[in-house]
Amino acid sequence: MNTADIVVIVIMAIGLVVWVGEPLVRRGRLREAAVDAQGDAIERLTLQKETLYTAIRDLDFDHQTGKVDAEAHAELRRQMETEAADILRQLDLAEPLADLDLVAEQEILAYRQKEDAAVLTSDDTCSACGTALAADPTYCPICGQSLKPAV
Amino acid sequence: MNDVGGAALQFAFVAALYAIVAALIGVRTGRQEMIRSAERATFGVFALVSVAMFTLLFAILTHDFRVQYVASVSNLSMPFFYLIASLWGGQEGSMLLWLWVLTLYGAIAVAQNLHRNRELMPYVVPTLMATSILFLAILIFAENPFHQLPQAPLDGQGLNPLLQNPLMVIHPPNLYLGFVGFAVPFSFAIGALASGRLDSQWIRSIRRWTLIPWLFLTVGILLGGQWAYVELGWGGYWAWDPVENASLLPWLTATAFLHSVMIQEKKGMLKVWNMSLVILTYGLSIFGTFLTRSGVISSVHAFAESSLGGYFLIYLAIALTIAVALLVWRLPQLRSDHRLESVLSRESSFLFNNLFFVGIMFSVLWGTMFPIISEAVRGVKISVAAPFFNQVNVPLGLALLLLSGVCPLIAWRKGSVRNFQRNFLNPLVVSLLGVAVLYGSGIRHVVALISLSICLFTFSTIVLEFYRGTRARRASMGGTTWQAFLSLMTRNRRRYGGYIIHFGVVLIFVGITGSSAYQIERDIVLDPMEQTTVGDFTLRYETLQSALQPTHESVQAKVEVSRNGRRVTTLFPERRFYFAQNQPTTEVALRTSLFEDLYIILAGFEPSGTATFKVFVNPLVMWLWLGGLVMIFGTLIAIWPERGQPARIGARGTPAVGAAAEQG
Repeated sequence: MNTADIVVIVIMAIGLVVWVGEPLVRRGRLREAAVDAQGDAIERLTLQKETLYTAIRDLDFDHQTGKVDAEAHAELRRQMETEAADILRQLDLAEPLADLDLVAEQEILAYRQKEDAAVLTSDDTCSACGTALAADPTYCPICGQSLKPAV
Repeated sequence: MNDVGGAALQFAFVAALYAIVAALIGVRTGRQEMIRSAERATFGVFALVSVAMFTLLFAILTHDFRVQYVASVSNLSMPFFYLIASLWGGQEGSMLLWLWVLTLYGAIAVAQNLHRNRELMPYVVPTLMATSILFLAILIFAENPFHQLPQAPLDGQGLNPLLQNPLMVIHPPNLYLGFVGFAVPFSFAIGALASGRLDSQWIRSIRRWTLIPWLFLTVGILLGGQWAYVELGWGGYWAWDPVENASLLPWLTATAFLHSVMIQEKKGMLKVWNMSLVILTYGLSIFGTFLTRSGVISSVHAFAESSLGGYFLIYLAIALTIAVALLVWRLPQLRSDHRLESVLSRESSFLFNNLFFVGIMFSVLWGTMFPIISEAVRGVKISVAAPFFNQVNVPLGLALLLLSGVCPLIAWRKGSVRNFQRNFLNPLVVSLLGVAVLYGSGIRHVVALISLSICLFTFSTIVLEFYRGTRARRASMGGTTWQAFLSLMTRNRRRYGGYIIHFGVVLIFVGITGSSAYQIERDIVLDPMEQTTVGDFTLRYETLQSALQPTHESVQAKVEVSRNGRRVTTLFPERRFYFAQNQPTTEVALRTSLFEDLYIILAGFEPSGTATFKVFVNPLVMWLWLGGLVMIFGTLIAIWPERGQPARIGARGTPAVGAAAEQG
């Protein structure tokens, strides 16, 4: 083993120890948002909501392409809408209790959406659930998604 | 430099062990800094393995023959391109590449999840690192790529001539990118099981992580087939060889998973089944590596001599035991949220699809393992040949193809029988008409007729899906047909990307059908300037020429090919003898077209100039490769992120969900 090799190996070892050990000795330990039960519930409900929206979109599309007849479509859609309404109600109950960090972050997100406004208002379908919309609506009649920029 | 490579591997081993311990202590004690430190160690492992790999590459490029590996896979006369390929041309180097890809994937997965899936990561990291430790242990203790010879030879032996082919340069990295990639979904599955976060979140996080390795594995398998076709010189592209089967096994379960995971996303069903498929796919990819690396295939006795087999088997046993134990422990939480609403629904057709895929997987596994089992139990090695695999898998494969045609005709949740019958009619008429035309044009091979009619049926349903979808989009949004078509594709990339993949599969089935039902094979002996006819082709053997190259001696025959009196091309089938490896090879002469390949091998020659040729006419082989390209295109469409969608979906939920949806 020559000197250059030894130097490289020593540098590698020191680099590894410093890199891996740094988080352990960092001043002011890492503060990470602990996952609370409430955030968990909201996340789960939101997932369920998205899944249902996709299902409604698929159902409408299957109807449009002639795979589901009008009767079955109406019946299944009614079922899903009831389910969706229930989830939205649960979300409304859970959301006001969400911690301040989340609220602040949501506001930032809403602000960012404002920049997206042009895209939002010119859409002919709801951006959240994909329902076809009448001209220039304020809210989606199916899922309640706001379609105007928050001012 | 070589000591640096060896030391890097040893440091990586220690860092990987540390990552496992630190992550588990971190999650037990709730100390986030331990988990962060463990995550940093995974980046460290990647950096160290990279150092080792580039050190080996450096040794190969600078012809450092003191290193045993370099002396055995490269030599002074090899061009730069194949010097790079010799990095994975031997056992040790290919293991190092495997490990490098694994640590690269691991580092990317960890980097992507620094701010999400935080409950899963303390288990994801140890799972990824445990797989790395298996390969690190092999490289450090059993197959050291940096092992030095007491004295450097003047020149190396060089890469196996069969591997000196451009396809062989890209085939192994592709296959590894596929095989190794399944470690990531597996580690997330373990993370979900261990942490108890069993909702659809982990499934969303690994959606792309399953499709990408699947794509690489698909490409790897096809490239392997193409290499066998042009390089091995037996006229075919797939022989149900254990090495080929090893790559097919995880592909089958991964494909099943790609389908069944949609049911879990949509309905919260099949949770245990999906978890099992992820575990099985990972297990099979490790098992496949074991099969091809340990020498167990050629004989059970070679297995006893090989030190590698033990490492793989012990690791596989431990990994599967832990995974299955976790699965059983979490069974009560993995109950389905819904039930199937109707037998006639897309969901239930996906269930059949899964049964067929897993059925094929078991038959291939059984056929591959049977010689080993029979030798171990009865002391007699009974090899399982292609007829067994074809008998079992051709019907199952055709049933799957039919299902891929039927499935899009059925609605999600609950299809109505009347609509199904109506939708079924057009594709059925197309396929029956097609069969009538084929029969009329002289095709009498029953299996070929069945296969082609199913291909036609599936193809028409795909066209119908695009047509109906475009029409529905146009009705709701107006604009031109082209705009409606584009909007259809961009709104549901996964679905329409999937249909394009199915179209690629149809092309592949057409190729397989044509080339297996109508292959012509002839052995011919010709004197110079003599001619004969094979199929539609007239072959005139003109001369035999020999030439001396730096690495090999070659003997080349000149064959003029004509058809119906018209000259088509001149082909040069060749035999080579490589000096360094003391090995003869055949260089196939190939004339490819959309309808058939003319494939000539120079089997032997006499001093008088008389030559023996093996000639194949393989119809429709080109369709296989085209189908592969279409599959790649379809997968890329399915993988492409859906623009704009994620942030808006997250608008009413938490920002974290928005971010997660973005990833999915």
